[in-house]
Amino acid sequence: MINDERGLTLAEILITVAIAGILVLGINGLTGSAYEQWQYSNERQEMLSQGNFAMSRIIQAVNATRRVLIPLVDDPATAYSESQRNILAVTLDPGLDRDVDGFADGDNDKDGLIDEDIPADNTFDGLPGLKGVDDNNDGLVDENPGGADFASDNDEDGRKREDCLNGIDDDLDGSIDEDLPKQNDKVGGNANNDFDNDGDGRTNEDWLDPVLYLVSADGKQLVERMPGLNPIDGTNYAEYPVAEAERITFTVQRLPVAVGAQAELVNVILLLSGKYGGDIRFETSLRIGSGK
Amino acid sequence: MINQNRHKHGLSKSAGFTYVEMLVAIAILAVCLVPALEALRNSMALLGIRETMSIDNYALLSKTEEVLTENFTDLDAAASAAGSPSTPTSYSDVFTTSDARQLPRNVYIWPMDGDNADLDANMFTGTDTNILYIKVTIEGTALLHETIAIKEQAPP
Repeated sequence: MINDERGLTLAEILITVAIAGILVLGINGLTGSAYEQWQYSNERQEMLSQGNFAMSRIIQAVNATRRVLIPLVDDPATAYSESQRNILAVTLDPGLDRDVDGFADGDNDKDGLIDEDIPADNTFDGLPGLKGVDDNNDGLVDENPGGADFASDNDEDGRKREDCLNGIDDDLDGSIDEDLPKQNDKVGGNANNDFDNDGDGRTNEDWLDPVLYLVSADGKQLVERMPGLNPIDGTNYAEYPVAEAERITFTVQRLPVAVGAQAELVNVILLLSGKYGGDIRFETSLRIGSGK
Repeated sequence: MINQNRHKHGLSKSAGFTYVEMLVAIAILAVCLVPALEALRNSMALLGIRETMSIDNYALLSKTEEVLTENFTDLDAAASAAGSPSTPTSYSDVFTTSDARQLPRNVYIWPMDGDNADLDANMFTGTDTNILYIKVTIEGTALLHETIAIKEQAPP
């Protein structure tokens, strides 16, 4: 008679538990590191996609623009750098027609011309420079230079309407045509009065439509600001993220170019840092307006 | 009843896997694990390659954009100095990437046969003087950017 109901001895159980423990530890270590690796590569994959998307938006915007608003060119009279910034602002692609109405989105008055009657507040947003932005990197945002026409200090340098549309650096601050008066070209008339620049009987009806790229306040998003469709002024815009990461650093530098160069260059560096370690850096130089 | 049958056929209830069975099972598991681990390793490597290619592509774009800001006369002079379409011009350089790699960026410039008037279908054997073919490569890779530069015409 065999007794089949004999249980395990204490020693057997102890040995079994010990072996199981060792196995579980080994498997746990293996799956743990595999999971960490999976998280790390998933994040890098995501950062790569996000960074490439953001860069493609930036490349498209810079290539197509007629004018870079920020960074400005370095002003020899200031101690801070205007040319190296964490923000990029360009005017809207003159060929972009998002609502497919047959007129470019930058053609505010839909007359077939773009930015042909720019107000003294060049971006028509009621504030000096670009709304909510430190235009010249002096640490102040939308600072008021005083006077009823304070919004016409378009580069936030404390002076108003000092650089007209003539391809010349009138105010000797390094930047060209960056603070346009009401009569944009300042020819034959009082530049400080509203002026019908295109002679169509209306004034200030086609302003500069800025597209911005900047890092959000929490440092986790690169945000694109685009003018709204059919805006009534420059305060109508939408912001949405084009890249997200644990931490984002964005640097834009206006590069000096040689005399006789075909175009100006900006250097863009987008650095995405991951939660699980590691950065991905996207860097390129771009010609301003090369796509036109 | 079952126990009785097992005993009848000489089977012991406590019989487990034999040593050979265990070896076979482990061998099968190991064989299955190899391609799984290989797939994991490959996907990791692929991600690295994608990152590298992305960085290299921006380095190429950057060089192309820099070259295209140069005026036509300077580009033409660089092509003449190089002497052939397959000789890197003086615009070539070595770029250090953010992951500390040294990328030799070669810039090739040569007058381009824009109209193929000589009918030889060779883009480098024409008489056109207003078009330059530009190619930027990273030595040791298949990555390249090609473009053209056109001489600015004086306004009438």
